[in-house]
Amino acid sequence: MNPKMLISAHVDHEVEEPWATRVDELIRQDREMEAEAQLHHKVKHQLAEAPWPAIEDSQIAVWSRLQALAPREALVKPTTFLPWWSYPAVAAVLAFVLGSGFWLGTHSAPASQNLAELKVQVPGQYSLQLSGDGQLLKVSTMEGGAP
Amino acid sequence: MALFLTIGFALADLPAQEEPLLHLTVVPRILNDAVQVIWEQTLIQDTVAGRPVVVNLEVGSTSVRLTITCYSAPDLSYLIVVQGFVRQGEVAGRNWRTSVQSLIVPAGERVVYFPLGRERRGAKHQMLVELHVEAVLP
Repeated sequence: MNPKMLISAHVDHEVEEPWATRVDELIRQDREMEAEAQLHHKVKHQLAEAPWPAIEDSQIAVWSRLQALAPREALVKPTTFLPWWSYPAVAAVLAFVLGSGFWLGTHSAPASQNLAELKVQVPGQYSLQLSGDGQLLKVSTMEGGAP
Repeated sequence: MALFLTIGFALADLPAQEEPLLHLTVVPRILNDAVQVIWEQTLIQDTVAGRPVVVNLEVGSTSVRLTITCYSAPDLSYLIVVQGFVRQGEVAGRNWRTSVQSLIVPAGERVVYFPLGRERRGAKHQMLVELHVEAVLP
């Protein structure tokens, strides 16, 4: 154990015998120990002479310093909502896109997609003659249609 | 954005609610010299008024393409428009002809279309296509 650690207790008369006598001898023999003991005596004396601390005044002073600090910026709630004017703008854009898709669908779809197409391969060999333009007639009256 | 574009595109393909559904029956027939039916085939297609139905007929070297469009009138009659495109013969010396005919018929009336013309002109066989339109009841 380092004897220096006992100096502070020895100055406060808290070291019991025979260690108190031993510390006294060390203080007399060792200059470093003597200086340490004197330092402790000095500090103890100054503390004893110091006025009693004004605890309440200290608390007020500390609190004042804390209040004088720049207030912490309030936490900014992240904006999760768009500005009011953006909703109609977004709706207009979406309506435009929907209408564009509709327009493209009506104008760009290949004709085959809108047509039902039936195919018939007539079996056998038949002698057909292209004699004229096609004719559309009512079965009941055999009246023709207009070209 | 792409989703809305796709939805709009899909909506364009939907039939308008005011367009009635139609039941179209197409019966191509081949007649012999005695005006007897020696071949026929019944084709049925449900369609929407104003939407064309295409029928392709291949008979040997003769190709017939019919585009049939039916429109419904408030008095329950139908306007039938038939566009015929006929191609006959081999590549060299190929004959072809197009025609457009329309006819207003009352509901239930049958019509017949001669894609190669009504006259036989010595041909052994003749082709005709019978059409019948009726509304599809909801």
